[in-house]
Amino acid sequence: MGKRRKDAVEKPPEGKSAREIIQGFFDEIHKIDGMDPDVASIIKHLWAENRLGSDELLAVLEKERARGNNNAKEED
Amino acid sequence: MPKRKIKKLSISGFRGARYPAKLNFTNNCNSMLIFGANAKGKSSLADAVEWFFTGRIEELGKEGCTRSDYRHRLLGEDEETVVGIEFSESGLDSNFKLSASLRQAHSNETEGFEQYLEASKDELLILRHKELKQFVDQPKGKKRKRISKLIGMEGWEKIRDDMATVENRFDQLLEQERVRKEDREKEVAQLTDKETFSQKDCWEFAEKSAGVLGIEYKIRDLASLRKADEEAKAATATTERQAILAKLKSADAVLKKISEIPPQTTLFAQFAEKHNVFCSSTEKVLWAQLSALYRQGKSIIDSGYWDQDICPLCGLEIARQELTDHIKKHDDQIAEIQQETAQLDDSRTRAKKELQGIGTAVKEINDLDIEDFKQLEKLIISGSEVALKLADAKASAERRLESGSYIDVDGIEIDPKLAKMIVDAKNTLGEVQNKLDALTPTDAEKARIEAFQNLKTLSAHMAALEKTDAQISPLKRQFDSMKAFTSAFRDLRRETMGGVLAVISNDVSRYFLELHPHEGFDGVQLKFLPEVDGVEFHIYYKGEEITPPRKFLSESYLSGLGVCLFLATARVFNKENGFVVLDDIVNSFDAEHRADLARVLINEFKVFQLIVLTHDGVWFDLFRRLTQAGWQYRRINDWSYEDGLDIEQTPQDGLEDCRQATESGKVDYAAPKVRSFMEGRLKRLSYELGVRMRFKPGSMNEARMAGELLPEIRGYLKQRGFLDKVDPTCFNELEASSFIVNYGSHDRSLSPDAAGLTMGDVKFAMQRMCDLESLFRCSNCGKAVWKVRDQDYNMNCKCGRLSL
Repeated sequence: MGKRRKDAVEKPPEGKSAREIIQGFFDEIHKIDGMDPDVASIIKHLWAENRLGSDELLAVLEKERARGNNNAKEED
Repeated sequence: MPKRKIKKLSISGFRGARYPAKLNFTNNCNSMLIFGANAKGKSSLADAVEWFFTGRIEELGKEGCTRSDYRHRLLGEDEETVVGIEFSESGLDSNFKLSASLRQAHSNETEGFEQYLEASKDELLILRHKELKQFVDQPKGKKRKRISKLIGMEGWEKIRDDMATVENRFDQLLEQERVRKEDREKEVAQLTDKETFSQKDCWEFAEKSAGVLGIEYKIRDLASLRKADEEAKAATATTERQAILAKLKSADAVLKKISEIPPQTTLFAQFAEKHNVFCSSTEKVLWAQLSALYRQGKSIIDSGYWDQDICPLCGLEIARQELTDHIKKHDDQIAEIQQETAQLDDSRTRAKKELQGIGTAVKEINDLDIEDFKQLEKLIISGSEVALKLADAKASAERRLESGSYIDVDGIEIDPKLAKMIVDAKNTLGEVQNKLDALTPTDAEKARIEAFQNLKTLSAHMAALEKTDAQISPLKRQFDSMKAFTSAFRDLRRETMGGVLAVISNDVSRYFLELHPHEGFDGVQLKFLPEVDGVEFHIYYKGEEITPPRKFLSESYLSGLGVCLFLATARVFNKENGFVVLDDIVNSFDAEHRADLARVLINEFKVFQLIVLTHDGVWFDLFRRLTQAGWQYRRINDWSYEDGLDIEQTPQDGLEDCRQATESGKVDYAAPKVRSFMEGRLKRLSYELGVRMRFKPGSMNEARMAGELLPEIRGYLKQRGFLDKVDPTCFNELEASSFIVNYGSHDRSLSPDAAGLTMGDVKFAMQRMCDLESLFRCSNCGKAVWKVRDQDYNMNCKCGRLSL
């Protein structure tokens, strides 16, 4: 758990700026071993909107959990 | 896109540069080595570049200098401070100006220039000797921060910290849910009489309990458990019995409480007796009535505002003193009465509480939810009678002492009614308890009840456990994702930082080994240390790894490391600019390594434009001898507060400068320029012609002035018969001019006007110098007479018409 697949995020080639490297990382986070697709989408979305902070992410993930629980109740 | 280099740098009115001073790096953007003795204004050049790019000079800011200190003190209100740079990319040329009102702005307002300027702000453009060891001496964490900033990774730390915060928060939430689940499982294990929780045990236990109730089917999950629980509830007989039992138990508790009430109202009787004793004294009742009035009258007298001989209460005439004495006399009596009434009030409160307690019990009789009890009817009647008597007793307890009326306890008759009610309650209690005994379940019924309750409890526990699992599952999913993210991000950061440091380390190591060849060093490496989130140098010396460098390296070596790091990082990270300014960095080196430093700069930075400032004359000469094409050399000839910087120029640039100075109309500005131009040109002539002069040591040799150089040149040329071939008039005129110009530019106590020096004199001198130089240039081929020269200094121009 927590280990990346070897092909998930390649070692940054020389010449790439830090910004390009981190952008590449976020583009590929759904490939990280152990990463849930929904969580990956949320992180990507917040990153794209420049809102990726701890408070914001905690709030969005909590909403996502609540939504999941509500759906489960409805299914019951 | 090629990195930008500097073609021309001009400063005026900036710091120590009173008048325009220029550095022309040519269209090739050559590197330049500039020599200037201490306090000759070298740092103004480095400061100018910093100010141009950042709008401030950090080092001066630390010492409390502000924008006003960037302007030369002698600048007029209408004069601006200007630093102009012409770049290899012409669209970026700009003059940065600072007005007397301290407004500063670039003349180039294009978007492209603004972007270039912004991108350049984070680049390493200037290294001063003071800053050499700054990075080397920083703690590991700060080194890492500095490198992070340089490579644009400073925002990465925030992402790492934020994501770690989220991961930790999820870890805490998960732990809370796990503890909750464990507690619940322990309760279930206890219910099922097992040491540990297991679902299998739960289902077996549920099946067994359901079996007792006659519910026979497999329970293998929460749904089947819930179904069994519902069916158990449907066994209504059990629940009705429970309801009756509950009501009887409730009645049992109420009746027991009433049975224990004392049959006499003791506290009420005590209060009534005290009340009646008090009221039996007419005087006490009277004073009780008057006490409030007396107290009010006393406070009026005591206030001091009442100064009339009239009673403030009744209006009768009475001497004020007499009135005061009267009130004082009765004051103690009133205090005694008030103490007694306070005690009676306390007794009254306790009596009322006693009556309220009886009232509550009576009310509970009416609320009893039981039927078919013979004694209950009697109890209700006697309770009603007590309630009526209670109302009378309460009204009596409210009676005031001032009224003087008695309380007739016997007349109220509460105690006999209360005693009867208690007897009836005891009788009813006996009936209820008989019924309760009759309803006590059999062993079989007890087993069914227990089974029903077990099913109910187990169902609630298992539902709660399922809910907890439902909360844990997505939380765990999110926690695992965050853990995976932070781990991957940590790897990325380590790899990126490590990659960058590897590139820098290679360069730093190479430069350092060139600086210190054959001294036992194997290399230098910058390492990222994730455990402390820092960066540190590791020195490899004779097979041994040493860190931090200060453990082992002297100040000079640390300075060398600082230079190597600066140059390596500038080379890797400066994307916009291909030049760097090195301000007196040799200052921090020991003499042993000066030549090595020059060699590293010359050999390793051919693609860079280096602007190297130094006050070390030996290094300057050494450097000159080591360099080849692509380098220029300048000396700062002189500096004065009034005239500013006087930088050695090429003949063409020098002449151009002189022309501009003479056109400025400022004689005190033009005279030194022309003097400097003349001295420079005469030294050059002496050198090219091979004129021999009296020996002068060191800088005194360079400091020869026109008045000394001219006679030497003239004597040499006369000896070589050259003066016979040309018109020597210009020598005489130049000697006279140099005297005047020299006089005007050196003697500041003598104003140009007072000395009679005019712009005409200055222009005349400049022209005569040009005339003298033209004597040595062939009118046919245009080449100088020293174009072709042998070792005996026999020389001639290219075509041979002009010879010496």
